[in-house]
Amino acid sequence: MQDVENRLLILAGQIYAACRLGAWCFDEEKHLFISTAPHREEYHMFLQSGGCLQMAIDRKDEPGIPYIMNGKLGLAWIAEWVHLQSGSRLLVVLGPVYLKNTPIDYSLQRLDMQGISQFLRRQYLNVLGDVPVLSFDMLRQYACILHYTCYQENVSPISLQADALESEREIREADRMPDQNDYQRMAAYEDMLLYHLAKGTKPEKGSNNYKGELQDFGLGDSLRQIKNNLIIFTGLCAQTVVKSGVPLYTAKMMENEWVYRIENLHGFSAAGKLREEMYDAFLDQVCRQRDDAGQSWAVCECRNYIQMNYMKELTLEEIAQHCGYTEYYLSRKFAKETGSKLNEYIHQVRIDAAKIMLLTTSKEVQEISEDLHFGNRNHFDRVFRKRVGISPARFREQRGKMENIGEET
Amino acid sequence: MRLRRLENYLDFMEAVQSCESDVYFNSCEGDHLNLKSVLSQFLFASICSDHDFLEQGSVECKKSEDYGRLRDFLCEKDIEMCDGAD
Repeated sequence: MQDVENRLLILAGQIYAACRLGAWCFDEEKHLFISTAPHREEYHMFLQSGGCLQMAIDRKDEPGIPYIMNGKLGLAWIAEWVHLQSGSRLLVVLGPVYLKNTPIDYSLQRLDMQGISQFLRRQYLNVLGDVPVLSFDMLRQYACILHYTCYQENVSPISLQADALESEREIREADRMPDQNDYQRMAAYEDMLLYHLAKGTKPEKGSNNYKGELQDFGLGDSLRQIKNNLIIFTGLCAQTVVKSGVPLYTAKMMENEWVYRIENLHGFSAAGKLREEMYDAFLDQVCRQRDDAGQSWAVCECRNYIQMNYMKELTLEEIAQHCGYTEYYLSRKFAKETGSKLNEYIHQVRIDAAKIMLLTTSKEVQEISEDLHFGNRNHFDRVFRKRVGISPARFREQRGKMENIGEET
Repeated sequence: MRLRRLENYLDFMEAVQSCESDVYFNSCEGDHLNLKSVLSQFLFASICSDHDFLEQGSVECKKSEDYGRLRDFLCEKDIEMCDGAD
């Protein structure tokens, strides 16, 4: 029977030939005897800096059973202590290995955040480029082979799992490739959201087992993929609200606005929030449309057009042209259905906007008046006073004070 | 301070770990690696066999006492100049 050292040498050669997986032998003092890995110095530092070498050393008193370590920055290693006939102990390590699910992407993201030079980036990627990529199951098989080589006995995968480090769950999670269920769950979740959107009702939280995480299906550029998913979902929302009665123009404007915001996303963390905001905006639009029930399409379109364009110099001619009616017919129809004149409605929308601008910006009243096309300050004051009861300056003073008191308390 | 030709990188990294404060490696390409961070350690590892590149860079300790801990890995001339300045 061959001694364990010879068997390990054969194993080291075989696994390197099979998938360039390196084998390492250390003594109890962390001294390296032999390594078959490429980039030996670099990988040795990875093993040490990632904390896995110490992790393995700490387990030297545990009975011989292989375990898988998930080191920092996504590199995994297999380790097992071997009792030699001489009475000393030998630590055998196989690795490094990247588990599946685009770990190189993760490394690249970290590199981008670090802002390093092209030279260093190239060197680093050259070194990482030789790290084999294996599935977790494959890694477990190598662990079983290692154990057999050391002790000539089989180890059951179950006992291997039980003895694996706490980080095993993380490893398994990272190793998990997206399956059909992920797509189905996400599609079902979006269907549920669209169903509620069409009805104008807010979906209950937790009404679906799936929490609606934005999925990265591991196809490459994760952020791009999430943006694409969001853009598609925005398009679906826009289509749904049109079917629920929201004018096509309004839906398209909203869609364009949200696509623009999605394209400007810079991180994953903001993506979930943006999707919620986008969904709520479409839902609000449907609800507003429901409130306007009983009004003709032309009047709804007219109101929406005014709401979207009140910062422009609106003319009756332009609005009528947009709605496809004559000025005379549209103004009569609007007054009949809403009970107020078109001009008054435009004033109302602009005064609502002015209130917000007065409280949230430091613009002069004159400037706000000009932004909202009131012509001159006197006219703005008069219209504002008529609708709010006080002048714009007084409104800013009073409400500003109230907000300050609110903040102080 | 410039690095000497490193014979054993792991010893150098262990010495860095023993430093009280952050230790940076500034490369000639403008990289600024905090050798206490794992990613930077990995990046540093990937250039550890490029002796010329390492020798063109410099090591910077946030606390001047830490230079003493790295004395064995730094250029003697630089240490002498630093000691002389003190």
